[in-house]
Amino acid sequence: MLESQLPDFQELAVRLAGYAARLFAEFGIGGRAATVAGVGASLEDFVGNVLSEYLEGKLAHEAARGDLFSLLATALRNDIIDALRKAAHVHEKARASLPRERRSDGPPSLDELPDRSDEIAALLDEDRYRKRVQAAFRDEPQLGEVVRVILDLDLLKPREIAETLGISTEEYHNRKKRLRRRLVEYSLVTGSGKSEPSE
Amino acid sequence: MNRANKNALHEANKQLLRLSDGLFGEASELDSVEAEGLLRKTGIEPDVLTDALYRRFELQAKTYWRKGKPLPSLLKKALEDLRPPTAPPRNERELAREARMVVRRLIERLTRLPDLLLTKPTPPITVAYRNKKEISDRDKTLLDRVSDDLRKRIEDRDKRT
Repeated sequence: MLESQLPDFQELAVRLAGYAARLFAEFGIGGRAATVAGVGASLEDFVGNVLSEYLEGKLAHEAARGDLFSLLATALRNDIIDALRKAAHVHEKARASLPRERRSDGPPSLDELPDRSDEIAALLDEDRYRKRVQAAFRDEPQLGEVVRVILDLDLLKPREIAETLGISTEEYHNRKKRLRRRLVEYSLVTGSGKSEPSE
Repeated sequence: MNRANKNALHEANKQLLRLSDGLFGEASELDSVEAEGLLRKTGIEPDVLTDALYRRFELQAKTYWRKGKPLPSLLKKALEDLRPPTAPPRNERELAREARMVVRRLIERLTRLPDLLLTKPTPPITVAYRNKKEISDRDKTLLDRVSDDLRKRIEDRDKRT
């Protein structure tokens, strides 16, 4: 590869980290100091791992299959989702080894380590995801109607969404930007007091 | 688990990821300016993050140096790009690169100078000396006079322009 064809890693790292911040908020992991429970990987770890794999040639980029950033972002997202799955499993396994009642000198009992495996797994459940998003943007009219059109009418093409909302495509893209900004201001699961609606 | 298996596993989440892209946009829609904003809102300073990545890749590079192997070109470029501006230059090429960056930043600031002068922000005057116990009342009165004089001059200057 010619030197002029090499990517700008400063830009690549910042964009990937920004994308990871969005995913962390989207899947309820949290912010700066947060790690995926049970796996212990932070936002910086995920970005570093994906870039490392690319730098060492373990993750190859073929121009015909799309741009480099999209390839790395997909790998990053897969890693985060994978870590969430693993976290649910690790948590379940840790609980399985616990006794029902605590002995004076023994490990904590099942009651002392609450079961969060379903809760962690639910972060990847589509129905629960829909409800979390709806709840989060319920009180914001402009953003809420974008969410409603996408989730209820299953429209995904920008032009279709913009037409249904009676706005320009440019305005729709602006709203999507605002959605991303609001998303990282509170995690979809843990933040801002906007809780998931009760079922 | 290798990349191919991981990707196959995520077929299961295809619909969820489709919704995620539909709602918050595809990854490629995120430019570096917006990414920096999202990081800051999360409480992460982009420079701090890239410095940490630089240290990580430097460790990675050391394993090549120890074995006397050449660095992969991508790793070499990543170290060049992510190198913190505070790190001392290691050779003439880096020195020249940093000098170019300093000059570029200086020129950028100079080109913004006329706009900054036009807005003429009023400098804040703090009277921190008022809490100092070691200053006598007479000295405080003198300092008060100086600060009043300074405020008046700034007001006069603002009126003239």
